[in-house]
Amino acid sequence: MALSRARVLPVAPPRARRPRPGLFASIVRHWADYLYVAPALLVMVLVIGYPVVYTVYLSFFETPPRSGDWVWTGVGNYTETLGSARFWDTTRNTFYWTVGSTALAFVIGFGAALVVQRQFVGRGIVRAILLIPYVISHVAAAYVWRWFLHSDYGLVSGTLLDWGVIERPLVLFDSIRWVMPTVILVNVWKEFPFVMIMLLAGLQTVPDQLMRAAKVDGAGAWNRFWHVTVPHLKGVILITTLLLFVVNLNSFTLVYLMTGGGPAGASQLWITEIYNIAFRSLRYGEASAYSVVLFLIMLSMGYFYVKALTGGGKSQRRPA
Amino acid sequence: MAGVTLREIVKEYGDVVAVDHVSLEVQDGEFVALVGPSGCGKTTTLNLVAGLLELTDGDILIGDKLINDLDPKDRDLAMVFQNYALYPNKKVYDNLAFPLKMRGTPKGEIAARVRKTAEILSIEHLLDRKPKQLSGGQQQRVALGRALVRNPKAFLMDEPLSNLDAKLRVQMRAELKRFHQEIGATVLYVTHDQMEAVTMADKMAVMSGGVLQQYGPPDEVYRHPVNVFVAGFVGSPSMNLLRAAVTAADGQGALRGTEGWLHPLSPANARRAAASSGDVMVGIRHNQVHLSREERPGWVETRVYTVEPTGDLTYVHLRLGGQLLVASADAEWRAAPDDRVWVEFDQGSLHLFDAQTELALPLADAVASGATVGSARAMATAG
Ligand SMILES: Nc1ncnc2c1ncn2[C@@H]1O[C@H](COP(=O)(O)OP(=O)(O)OP(=O)(O)O)[C@@H](O)[C@H]1O
Ligand SMILES: [Mg+2]
Repeated sequence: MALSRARVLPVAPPRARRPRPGLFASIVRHWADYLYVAPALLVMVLVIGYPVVYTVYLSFFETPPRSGDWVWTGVGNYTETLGSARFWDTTRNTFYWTVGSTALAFVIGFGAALVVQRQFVGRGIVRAILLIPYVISHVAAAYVWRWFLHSDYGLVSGTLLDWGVIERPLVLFDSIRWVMPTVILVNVWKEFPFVMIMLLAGLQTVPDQLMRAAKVDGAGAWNRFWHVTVPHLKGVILITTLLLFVVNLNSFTLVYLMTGGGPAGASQLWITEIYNIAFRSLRYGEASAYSVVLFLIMLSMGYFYVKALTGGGKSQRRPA
Repeated sequence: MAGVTLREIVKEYGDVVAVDHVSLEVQDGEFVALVGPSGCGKTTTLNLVAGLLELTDGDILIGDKLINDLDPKDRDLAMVFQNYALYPNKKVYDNLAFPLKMRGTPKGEIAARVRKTAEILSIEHLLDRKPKQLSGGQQQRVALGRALVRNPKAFLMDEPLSNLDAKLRVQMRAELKRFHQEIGATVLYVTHDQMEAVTMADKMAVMSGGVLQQYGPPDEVYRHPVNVFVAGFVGSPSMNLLRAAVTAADGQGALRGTEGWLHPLSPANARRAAASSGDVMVGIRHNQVHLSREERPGWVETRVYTVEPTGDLTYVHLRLGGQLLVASADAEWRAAPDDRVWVEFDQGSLHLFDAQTELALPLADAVASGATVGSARAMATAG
């Protein structure tokens, strides 16, 4: 139907002179396309749209844990959230966590991809082993590492004590100073294989001919990497880091299960904090306000995310 | 600049022998064209010289230096790749500048040389574009430029003109030839196009199935092909090749074709034919087939298949038994299909090959003058 409709349209005048068709006209012309996505759209509205609206609504109320009443407070929840030092501490933690994890996972993952891309005996096994952290569940990973690194009965601390490398137990999860680096390291351990797979896939598409040309042109290993490999992987690198960034910004499980945000909120992240406010303290209104703030922050970052992704494609397609 | 020497080089990919004991000497300043059908190992040979593939066996020398184990970047060769291999993220300028940059050439000199190369190739107006924004022919010229911008020991070129249109190709051919003469460049040049080989090359190397068949100046390869393969491959339209048995008729040597035709042989040719195993392949070029509309004694009767006027001359395709034979006549020559035409092969330009070994049967005086060249190895393995 859509096709036959398109056919009866008059021949378009030269492209440069034609004014952009109105939004409405464009929607009408593509009505069938909207019809096709309608079911999916409907489900999205139900499972995403409704909770969003509900959360925004709830964020203007106070919801005392002991009563079922909602008390209108206007922007009270917002001023309280944004005005608290705790919010800013958590925000700092979250960015420390996100930037640190993403950067480290990227560097280590890239290195691993370069190593396992080479031909060597046992390459398949090494690849498989390096993939393990990625396929382990977050819950299992959290408990394993908690057990490894526990200061009193942890494997690492105990072994080092036995060997006499350290004199006092190694305090990591319970140290305000060391808890963030520790959870970040565990997170990097969990995430670097993702970077590795993505970049490995990309590395396999680097044109052989281009590498050869660079060799003949006198480029050594580093120059070939920098002038051929990296430009070729640019798109993959961009997407991988952005995906990781978003995932890390929304992290919950690993930190919640390993430290619960402690000690004294030293490893509290946005999402763990919201969880605590909502389901521990049962202050739904405040949690909603918190969520709305995060939603806005992420929405604005998502804008740049989409722009970077589509912008990259556009510049490549630019005509001569 | 320096010469390039290949000694018995071999490249195997598992069971496939892509290059089979090829020996070749490119003198300093010489332009050598490497020709052969698709898949015969031309690109592989070039890659071996460039160091992009590892030799299975044999030696490669640049000048007097053995370079078997030298890294490609240290061989100081420039290469034009069959499919351009331009750096997609770099502008044309930076593509051309890259090999200079990698060798630490000062910025000012880079700029000057890039401009000059771009001028030679008429791509000055494209310097700010990315390879994606160029046509195939333009990309090819940039690829060529990336090699010409340097001053290497030798140039390796893998069909560098194959994607240009006919006019541009002729023009670039002239440019390349001039460039070669001006700087005395050593060039190893792969091509499908025999015109390129004939017009530009000092020497021509014909390969087939990884084996070097013949190596010599183009006109010599054309006039004295050492075996059936070279005879059929070099020249356009290809040489007519007919199978025949050596017999005698009227007290004179003669050839009897498998289709029953009979053609007399001159005493000299009869002596050559006598050296064969009994069966020969007769090779005769289109312009050495004489045509007649009337029956003549000793001439072979054929039927016209098609007539192709080309402007300068007319190609006449003739049916001889089940085989087709190409002859050429002057521009006005015309005939209708199935007309009877009698042909005679020019005795002085008749090529005779042993049907079993497929090697040329030497002409007594040609052997004396040393005109039939070709490595002994090529002759030995050609059959
Ligand atoms: N990586 C490889 N693995 C196995 N066989 C290969 C490989 N590369 C080339 N070959 C084989 O080696 C032979 C020579 O290939 P090459 O590319 O040198 O041919 P060519 O003469 O350059 O052909 P063309 O004129 O089509 O470019 C071919 O039979 C090809 O199939
Ligand atoms: Mg090739």
